[in-house]
Amino acid sequence: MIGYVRWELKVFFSNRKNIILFILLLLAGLYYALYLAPDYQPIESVNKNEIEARYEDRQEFLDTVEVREDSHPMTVFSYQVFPEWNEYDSTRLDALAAGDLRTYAEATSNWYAYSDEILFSSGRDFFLRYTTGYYTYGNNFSHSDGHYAYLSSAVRYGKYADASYDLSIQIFEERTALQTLQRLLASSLPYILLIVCLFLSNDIVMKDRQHLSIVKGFPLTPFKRLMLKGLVALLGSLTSLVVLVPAFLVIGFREGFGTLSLPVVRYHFEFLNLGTYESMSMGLFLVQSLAMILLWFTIIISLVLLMSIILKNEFINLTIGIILFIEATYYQRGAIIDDWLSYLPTSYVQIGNIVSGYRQYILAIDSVTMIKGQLVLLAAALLIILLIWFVSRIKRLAI
Amino acid sequence: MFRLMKTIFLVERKNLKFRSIIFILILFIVGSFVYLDNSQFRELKPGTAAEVVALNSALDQFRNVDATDSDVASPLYRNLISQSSNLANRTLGLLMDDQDTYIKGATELTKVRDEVYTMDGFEDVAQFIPTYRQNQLDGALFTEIQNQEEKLLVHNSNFPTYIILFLFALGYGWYLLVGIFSSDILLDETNHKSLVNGYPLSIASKLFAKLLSYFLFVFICLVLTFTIAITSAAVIYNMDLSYPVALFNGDYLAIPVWQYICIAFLYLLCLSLVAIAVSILLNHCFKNLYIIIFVHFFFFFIVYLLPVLGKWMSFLPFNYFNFQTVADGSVSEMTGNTAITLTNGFLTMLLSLLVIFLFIYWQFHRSQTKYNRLKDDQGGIL
Repeated sequence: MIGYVRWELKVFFSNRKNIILFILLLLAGLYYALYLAPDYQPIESVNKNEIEARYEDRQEFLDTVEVREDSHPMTVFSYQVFPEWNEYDSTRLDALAAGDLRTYAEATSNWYAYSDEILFSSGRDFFLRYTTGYYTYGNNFSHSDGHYAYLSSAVRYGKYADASYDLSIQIFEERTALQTLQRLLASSLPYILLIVCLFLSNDIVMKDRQHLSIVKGFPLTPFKRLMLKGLVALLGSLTSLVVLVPAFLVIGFREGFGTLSLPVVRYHFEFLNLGTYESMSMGLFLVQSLAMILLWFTIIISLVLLMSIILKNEFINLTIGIILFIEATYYQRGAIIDDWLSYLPTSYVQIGNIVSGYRQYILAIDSVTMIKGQLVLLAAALLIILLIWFVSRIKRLAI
Repeated sequence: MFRLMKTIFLVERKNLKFRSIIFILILFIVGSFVYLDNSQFRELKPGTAAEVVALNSALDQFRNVDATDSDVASPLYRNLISQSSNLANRTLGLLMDDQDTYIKGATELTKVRDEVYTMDGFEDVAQFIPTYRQNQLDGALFTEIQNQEEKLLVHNSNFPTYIILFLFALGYGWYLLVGIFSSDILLDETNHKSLVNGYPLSIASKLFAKLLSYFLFVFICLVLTFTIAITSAAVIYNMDLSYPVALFNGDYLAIPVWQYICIAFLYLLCLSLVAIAVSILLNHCFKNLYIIIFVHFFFFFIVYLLPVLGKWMSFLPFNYFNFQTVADGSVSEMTGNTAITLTNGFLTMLLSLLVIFLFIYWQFHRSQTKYNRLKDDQGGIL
């Protein structure tokens, strides 16, 4: 059995397609690390000039304003809220000038919490706006984006304030290697990994059909052979994570690696999307994302195995890629979403957003949770493997 | 040659590859209906509301001053203010269900906005304002709606919007679909060389038969997809073939939906031929299915990876592999080359087809003569 696995591994890693895929992935990773990652400009950045301009404007207003009984309501409102706001801003400015990042983090956390209280809860959202970066043309959900960003930043900076590790601007702006990984997991990385996994494992059974007599000689049952093949494909797909390590190192040496105890904000949906924001550690986030990636790899590989023995066509295996994009048709922001859709395994493709709960915020539902996702994916994987077991018992179909 | 085509059909009839393509296309049509039902794709209400918020954010960049006084207000600021009053007309039109106000506001807005792109300090507010291309497309669309006195489509559950979505997605993926589907077009020949070389036909007619049978299949697929999508859209929504659709072809214009469908159909047909021809070419160079698929992907994305290529060379076929982005002018916008239009796309594709066929014929003819010479040298045994 070990011999079979070793042989399959050797074939897998000497397969020309797989080598090319690994090289492409490596190049793409390095391109990202060298050219795209430094260009990343967070909307919630540490911008001294912006704070200073805002602070001085408001201070000037406070110094000159004269509130009478017939003053405009907005003037009164500003007169009431600016002093506390400015207090936080001046603390932030002083802390930045003194290089005291811990005080800066604390003041910033308060600032975000207080700002959101005013911008969101006061109901004056027609006049008041979050950081302008959210209000780009074509963004139909800019206000809600800003709300999430402010509250999650408040939680994040609150954690930085009493952190035991060294702080830096890179950590604040989420530029370190681990935080870049986290951002990518919330956007395109899951798709890339899953598509690479599909391409890697696509021909793992079909290549044997050219040498049937050799394959039939192995003293293993077809089901066992398929499972071992699946294991090899899983190991090979995990190698694609290793291939991304150089890119990770490049970002790490440029911007710092960050630590595993960095905070990642997790959202819990509550009625009217007024949920709670809490923090989890980066380590936990990565472990749970990895668990979901592993489950997805298992599903894709077992689907490849199942399709290979039933339909015996490499092109059909490629159509498995569709399952990654089915979700986009029914999970749309702003739509009314049925709960039963969360029992479909396809609903859990956006791994990072599922783990951090951002998906719940965007879709305004509480049905897509991480635990449920892992259970649904696990059930789907087991079901497919059970199907493989049944099908491989039919002699005509086994490889 | 037609007997060979018949043989190819008989052999390939049971190939699951062909069925899987049809399966994908049907799944795609179902998905597009579900998507349109759920998404805010081209919904006017959220779109206009977001536009108002974005423009207000742009105005936030300035201090409030008297916009009528040209001493204190910059031209950019005055332009933004007048945009915002036209935008208010659009909001009013939506709110009061008054089409004329909306369309009037929209056409005025595009005219006013047209001037902003050359003003000083435009970069600071660029992210809050549609790009020049989007504005021109909007302008063409609303002017045409006004001229033809068409109804305004506030929601997206209607025939023209579905067609736009359908061609958007199909135009995006069609090259890759046909490219991947045809990527093993000649691999059988390499795998069973002696068998294939035994056909009593010239290399040209053999190639031609293969190409034609693949093309026929893609043609059937395309007709099937268009028919199913259009008929089901006509059943679900009401058929409306004369509604204007804006597109880019050197300048920005609006054409009726039926013309748009026809253009898209012809374009995708040409694109299929190009994809198959490129597949044949790649099959000649590489003998590995996956390498061919990867190269197809590379060709498709080359214009995004290296926009400079498109800037200097508008005649490269790679610029035209994505129907949607050519038709809405975004390739032209991205590369900064206004010569990348649908018309040039047709010409370029036909020309590159000619070049590819000549090259293929030359290459395969050479290999055939080489093979024959070898056979002659060894007394007919090979």
